[in-house]
Amino acid sequence: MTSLLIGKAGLLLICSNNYQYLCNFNRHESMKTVDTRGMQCPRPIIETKRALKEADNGESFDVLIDNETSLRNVCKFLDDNGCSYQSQKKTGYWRLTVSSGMEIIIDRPEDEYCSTEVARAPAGNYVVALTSDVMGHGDDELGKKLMSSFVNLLTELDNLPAAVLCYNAGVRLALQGSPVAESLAELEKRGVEVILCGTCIDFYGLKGLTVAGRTGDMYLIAGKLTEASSVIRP
Amino acid sequence: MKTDLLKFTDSGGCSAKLSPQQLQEVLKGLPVATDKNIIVDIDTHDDAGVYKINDDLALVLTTDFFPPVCSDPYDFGQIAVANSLSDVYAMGGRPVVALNIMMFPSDKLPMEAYSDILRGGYEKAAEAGVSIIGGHTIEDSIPKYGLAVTGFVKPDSIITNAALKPGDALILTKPLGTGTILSASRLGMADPQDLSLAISYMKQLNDKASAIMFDAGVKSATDITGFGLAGHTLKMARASGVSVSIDMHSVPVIGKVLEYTESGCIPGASFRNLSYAEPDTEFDSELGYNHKMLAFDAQTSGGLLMGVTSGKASGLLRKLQSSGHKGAAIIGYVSELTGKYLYLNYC
Repeated sequence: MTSLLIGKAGLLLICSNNYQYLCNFNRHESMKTVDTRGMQCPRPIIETKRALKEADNGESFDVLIDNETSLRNVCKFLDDNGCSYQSQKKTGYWRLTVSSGMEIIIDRPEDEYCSTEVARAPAGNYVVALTSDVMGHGDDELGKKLMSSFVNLLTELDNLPAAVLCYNAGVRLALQGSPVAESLAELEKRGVEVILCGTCIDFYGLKGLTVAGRTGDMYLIAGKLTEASSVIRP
Repeated sequence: MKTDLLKFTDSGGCSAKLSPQQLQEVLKGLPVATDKNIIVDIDTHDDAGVYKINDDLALVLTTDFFPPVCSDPYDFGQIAVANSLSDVYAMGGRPVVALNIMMFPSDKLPMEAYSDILRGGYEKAAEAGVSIIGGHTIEDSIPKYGLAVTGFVKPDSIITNAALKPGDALILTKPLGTGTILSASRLGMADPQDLSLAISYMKQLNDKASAIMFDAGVKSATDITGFGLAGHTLKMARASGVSVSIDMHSVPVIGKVLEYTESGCIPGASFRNLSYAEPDTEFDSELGYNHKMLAFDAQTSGGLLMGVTSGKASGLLRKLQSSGHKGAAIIGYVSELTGKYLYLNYC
């Protein structure tokens, strides 16, 4: 219930047993777009909910949102209703790609869906850039908590990222004692490349203190960023 | 042309409150009053402050004001006053005198609207036996109205947030849904009948409910306003050091409010309230999303929530129902603190 930018994946939701949906991420070429820019709260939620109801099973759609409060509320709404989504920051607005694929699961034992089979889904072609140890601007204590939930939730996604890039203060996330070090190591184990910016580790004097990921230079990082079909920066 | 106050505001009523987290954060940094005659202050997150004059008399002090919740200036005045007085009633006190607090855009609104707001306010105060003996108005682009109220209470019979006891039953005196209905109404989604029902509930004084609970020996109560049923219940549970379970299925609702929630009409205040209460709340797996969000709906001039020894609950409920609170219901119970402070169930 804490993720702000990436919703819980079907796997986790089923285990949380509140909302029994399985969501799939299928990006279609001609995707429907719900433009809520300029709309007052709670219109963006009403429009998102309408689009969810109208969408065919498995169909994805975009929601454009131009203010942080609405973004937060729509994300929370999607989280609580078991829908997965990805968020991209654009100039002056956010684009949420929402998966409508809700397969309602009835009368099937929970553990069937909690098996690790689902968790070993192949890595996706998106890349996560962790540029700081906090998420969002405002209170840093809150930001740290948010970043922790974000990284920890990454491990629970069906569609894992191809790579997680940690640069600038983001490298601190891979330190021994970091609340997400374990999750980063887990991602690596599952085939996600976790790359730490070597220059940054030197700059902050953290050499030898990291417990997850491998160091890489700007060549590698820039390559990963430019090759990715989308870059998620929480 | 008829004045529409809603054209002048984005968020109305108690949903215009600062978020509870932000408020808590700010209050933490302020000096604490040390006068020994202060019996109740913000320490227990209570509805009003109480200052002891002598063994028989204490003053209950509270203030509340907000931007318009409805189009009609007279209705707005009535609602703002019923809401301001409610904190005194929640503490088992009797409001006596009050001062107006008003912000008004005289360059944008006719003075008739100003006098209609005040007329609504004065008539509601008169109904409560309260004298408005002054006030203050300043120019502001968004109208706002409310009262600073002084009431009387006997120091040894104050009803507080902090006195729930395991085994108590919880009674709520007004149905929920004003926040969602007002929001739906702004978007043209609400059935006008539901809106007028919501307005009549918001105008309703909590005076009779207060007198009845006082006579029944209730020790702990609060009024449900901007933090929603869940937020205010959580405050009581924390202050009393108990766990509270609420059955959302038995919570009465105004009109078709759950249909509006189902359409996605969920005011921003509900999300604020949810994020405040979520860490201390356990949600039953049977609780559907609409009922869950209803628990966080910010109420304007909501009902009283009171804890009563379970043996007295049905008698008290009957008295409330026969004195104009037909929508009153037993909605939960109190137990020893185990796990979370608040359990939202659906039985």
